[in-house]
Amino acid sequence: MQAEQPLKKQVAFEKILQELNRAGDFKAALLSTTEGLSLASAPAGYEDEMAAATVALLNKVARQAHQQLSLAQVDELSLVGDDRTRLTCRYFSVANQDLVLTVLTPPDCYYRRLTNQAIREIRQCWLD
Amino acid sequence: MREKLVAFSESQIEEIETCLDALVRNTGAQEILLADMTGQLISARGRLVEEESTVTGVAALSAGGYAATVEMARYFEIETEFRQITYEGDHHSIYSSNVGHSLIITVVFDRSIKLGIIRAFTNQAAQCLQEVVSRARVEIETDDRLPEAEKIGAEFGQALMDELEAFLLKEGS
Repeated sequence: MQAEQPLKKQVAFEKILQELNRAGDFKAALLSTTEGLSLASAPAGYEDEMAAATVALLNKVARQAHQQLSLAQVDELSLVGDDRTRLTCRYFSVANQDLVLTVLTPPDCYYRRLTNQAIREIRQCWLD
Repeated sequence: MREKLVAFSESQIEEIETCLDALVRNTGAQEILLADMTGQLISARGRLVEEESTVTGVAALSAGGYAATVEMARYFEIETEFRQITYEGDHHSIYSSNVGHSLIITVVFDRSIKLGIIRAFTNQAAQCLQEVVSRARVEIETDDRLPEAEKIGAEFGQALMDELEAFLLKEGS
């Protein structure tokens, strides 16, 4: 029997994001670089390039808050709409690469524990 | 700035191939070429590998593409070092990145693969390759201190004899 081939990273990241959406009932999830390039997204067909570019704009705000207000390294940035839909960006690094996990959550949804778990899985998958 | 050309030992070539294999595995890219700045092919992965003359030509083109961009920047009076070049097509794209100042890695990928994935993992591969290049440079500098006769060495003489023998056999048949 042939040994199972490891998944290429994009497919593996997409699986993690799909599971994240399922577990949290999230509308969308995106993994991108801080420069605004998408690495993976879920669901399929989500406008990830536009979302990644928008998230990159938010990264500027996070970086300025960190530098100019002497805020500790930013771990999370959230925007909440008046319908209480939340766009959350979680910042993390792996192998010298700065990444952002962004999730779009419905009102009053828990997301912190689920995104922590997804970040752990992404780190593991990146280094495998 | 262009560095002196670098030569790799057999074990370093194996390390380079390991870096390229990891890049193929991580990204699913179809073709990967590693060449030096003069267009000399160092290693390749993908369909083109089976066609030696083609892959050598493409390596030269990749270096030429980089040189053309540098030259264009000179006309625009832009003083910068280009690290990455991307050509995006409808179905396939080509991404080139420098490895230090001496090598160019070129990756061909289809539209199902995101540019972010290619860029992130090519950067990772470039770091791995740069370590090999740095070690090769140290070895070359050490070799440069040896007397000329020793530098040519028995290994080169043997390789030359083997080539000559193969050539004569081919001519004789």
